[in-house]
Amino acid sequence: MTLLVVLLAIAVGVLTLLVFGLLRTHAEILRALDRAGISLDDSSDSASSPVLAPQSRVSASEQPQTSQAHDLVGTVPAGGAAKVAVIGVNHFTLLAFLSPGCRTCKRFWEAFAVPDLELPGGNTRLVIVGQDPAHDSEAALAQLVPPGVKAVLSSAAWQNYDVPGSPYFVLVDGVSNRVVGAGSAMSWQQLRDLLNQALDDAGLASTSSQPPSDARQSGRSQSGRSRSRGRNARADQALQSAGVGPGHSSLYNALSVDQDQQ
Amino acid sequence: MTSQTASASLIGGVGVNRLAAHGVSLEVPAGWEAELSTQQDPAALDPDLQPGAKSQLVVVHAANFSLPTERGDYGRGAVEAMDANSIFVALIEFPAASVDRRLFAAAGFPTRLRPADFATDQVQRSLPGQAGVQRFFHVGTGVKRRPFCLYAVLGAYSKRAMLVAELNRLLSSFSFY
Repeated sequence: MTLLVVLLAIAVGVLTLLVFGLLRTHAEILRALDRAGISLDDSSDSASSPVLAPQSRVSASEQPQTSQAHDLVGTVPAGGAAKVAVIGVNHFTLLAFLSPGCRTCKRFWEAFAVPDLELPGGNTRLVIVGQDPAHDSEAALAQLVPPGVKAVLSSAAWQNYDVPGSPYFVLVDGVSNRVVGAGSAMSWQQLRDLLNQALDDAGLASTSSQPPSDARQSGRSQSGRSRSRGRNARADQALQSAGVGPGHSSLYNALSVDQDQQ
Repeated sequence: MTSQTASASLIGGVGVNRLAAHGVSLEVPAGWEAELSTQQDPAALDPDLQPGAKSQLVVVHAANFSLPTERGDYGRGAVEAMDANSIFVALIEFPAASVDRRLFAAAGFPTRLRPADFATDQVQRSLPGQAGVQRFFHVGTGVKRRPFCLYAVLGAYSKRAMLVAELNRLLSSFSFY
């Protein structure tokens, strides 16, 4: 009888240890998923969900290693080898690092499928970046990519941009070849706000509203190459806010002096 | 032959990437993008193939502007997005059975085009100001000969001298293996 009680006690102890071990493993998995930005609660309200702040909002000079942008080299889903130009171009590029199996990503697949989606920056091209076929299902990703949206499979890009998990987003200024902002969000609205904030911080915010984009024609990029026009508009607005409008005398004083000197 | 690689390298300068697939390789400079794929509908070029058959006939598109996702072999869908400084290049492989046709008699990939080669009436889709050129040739020898068409479009005929120089830098990086 005593032996039976002792054996039962040992069995209960072992089972208790086993349960605690399982609970601990479960908690570690949940924490890892959380770090990767993957929510297990589909019904959670995006407004109350935690959002990872942008990692580098502005400046390149502050984080020279991570803020240097890179072109994308990989393969097109159900296609061939491809290079997508991100640097040395006169527009912004929003890189969306998404995975077919990521539940939070579903919101962004749906958001990016909306025609005439307004992208931050006024002259921004959307490129979806998946992992190499060895890591992600190429067929599943090809089915999810909305028509007209550029997509490339490149695990090298995930490494180059230090992507911790999906969904993750990087906004690149193709003129300065720098990352303007990077981070994750739980919804398109939150991401748009974060990116607009990053553009504001970098002094790159566009004052003009973005014209509708033609995804079929340009892969969600603005075809007008209007960076200089955007900068002119920002300069005009700054001058007007300072009380300097067209024909203002201060605009001609310097010219007069120069002419006098000649 | 069917392997495809896409690698980033510093060959030729900062920001140059080499793409290789289906026996064709090129270096893509900064500001340019490119895609190497195979014919969507090879049966349209090769009557011996069944409709829907897969092929390894390569199609290369390169441009110094953002390539749209949906494009025709000869750039329909892309040339409409070009501005005056844009360049679009298409390299299209034809079925090996065509290689004996006089059309493909010229040997070797044309790496040096001249501004005078371009004309506004040599474009597949006529758009104001644009000019194009088309060259048919073959690469390889003997039974390994492969027939190709090189098609290039400039955004502005008036800028052909400057744009052709940039185009030739890209063309000189092509190789066949």
